[in-house]
Amino acid sequence: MILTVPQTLIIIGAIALGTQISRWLPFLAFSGKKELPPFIVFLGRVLPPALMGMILVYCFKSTPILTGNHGLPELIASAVVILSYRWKKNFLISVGGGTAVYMLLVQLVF
Amino acid sequence: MEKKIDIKKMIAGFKAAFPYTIPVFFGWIFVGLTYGVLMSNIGFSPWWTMLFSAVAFCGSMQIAAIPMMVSGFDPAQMLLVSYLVNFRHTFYGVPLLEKYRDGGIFKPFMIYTLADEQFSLAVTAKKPDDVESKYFYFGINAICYSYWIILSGLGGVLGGLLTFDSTGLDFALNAMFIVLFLQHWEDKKNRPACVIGIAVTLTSLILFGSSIFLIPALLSMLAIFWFGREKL
Repeated sequence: MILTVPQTLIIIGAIALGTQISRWLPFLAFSGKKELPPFIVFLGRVLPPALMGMILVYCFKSTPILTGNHGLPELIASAVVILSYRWKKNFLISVGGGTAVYMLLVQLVF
Repeated sequence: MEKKIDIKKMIAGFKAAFPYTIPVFFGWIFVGLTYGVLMSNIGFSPWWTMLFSAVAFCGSMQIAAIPMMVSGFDPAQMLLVSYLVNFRHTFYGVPLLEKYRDGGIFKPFMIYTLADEQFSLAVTAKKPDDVESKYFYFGINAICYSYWIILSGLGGVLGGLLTFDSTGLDFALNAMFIVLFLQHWEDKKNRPACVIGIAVTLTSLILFGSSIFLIPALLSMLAIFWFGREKL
C-alpha cells in the first residue's frame, strides 16, 4: 500500500467529510423549520429540471465534437433513447435499447 | 417519530424501487470495476476498496483521489477537493427537503448516500401510491449503495481477468439521465428551468473548461433563479 493504515483511514475520512458537508448542508440549514422560506420552496420546484439539464451536459462533457467520430455514436444512441421513450414511455426499454445501440456503434461501427 | 421498522412495507418499498436502479447497476459496472482495478494497481486490497466505497460513496471523487494518494498524504487538500468536486450535492438536498422529511431513522442514510443518480431518481421516479415514501426512497439509495460497494470490490478481485468487452456500457447512465430529463420536460411549466440548466452549464463548460465548470454554473443558476423568482 502506498499509505500506512492510519493514513489511509484519515484519507477515507477526509473524502467522506468533504462529500458529506455538501450533502448535509441544506438539511442542517432548514431542519426543524416548519415553514420553508419562499425562495427555497421556489428552488425546490425549479432545481430538479435545471439540475437534470446540468447533469445531462456533465454526462456528455468529454464527448469529442471536433475530433474523432464527432460524437456521432452519442448522437445516434441519444436519438434512440429519446424517440423510443416518446413512443413507448418505458424507462427500462429506452435505457436498455439506447445502451445496446451505443455499444454496437462504438464496438463494431466506429 | 416512528421507531419500528415494518419489514413488509420495507420489502414493498424495495420492490417498487428496484426497477429504477437497474440502469444505475449497468451504468456502474464499468466505472465500479475499473475503480476496483485502479485501486488494486496502487496496492489496495478489495476490502480496502470496499471500505472506501462504503464510507466515501462518491464515485468520481473516489477515482480522483487515486492520483492524489499516489502523490502523497495530504488530508486537508483531499477534504477541500472532495468538497468542491461534490459542491453540487448541496443543491440536491433543497428539492428533497420535503420528500425526505418523513424519512425517520432512514433519513441520515438517505442524505449520506445522496449522489447524482439517487437525486435524479428521487426527484423523478413515480412512487406507487400504496408504497410508503420513506421505504421507497430508502430502497433506491440502499440498492444503489450496495451496487457500488459490490462492483468496486469485484473489480479488485477480478483485476485484469475481465474478458467481456464492456466498451460503451457506461452509456446506460447517460441514457437514464436523458429519460429522467424528458420526464421533467414533459411538464410544460418545467421547460424554462430545463433550458436554463442546459444553457448555463454548456456556457460554463465552454468558458471555464471541463474541470471546474460546475461551480460557476451552479452559482449562475442560483443568481438567475433569484432574479427570475417572480417570473418562472
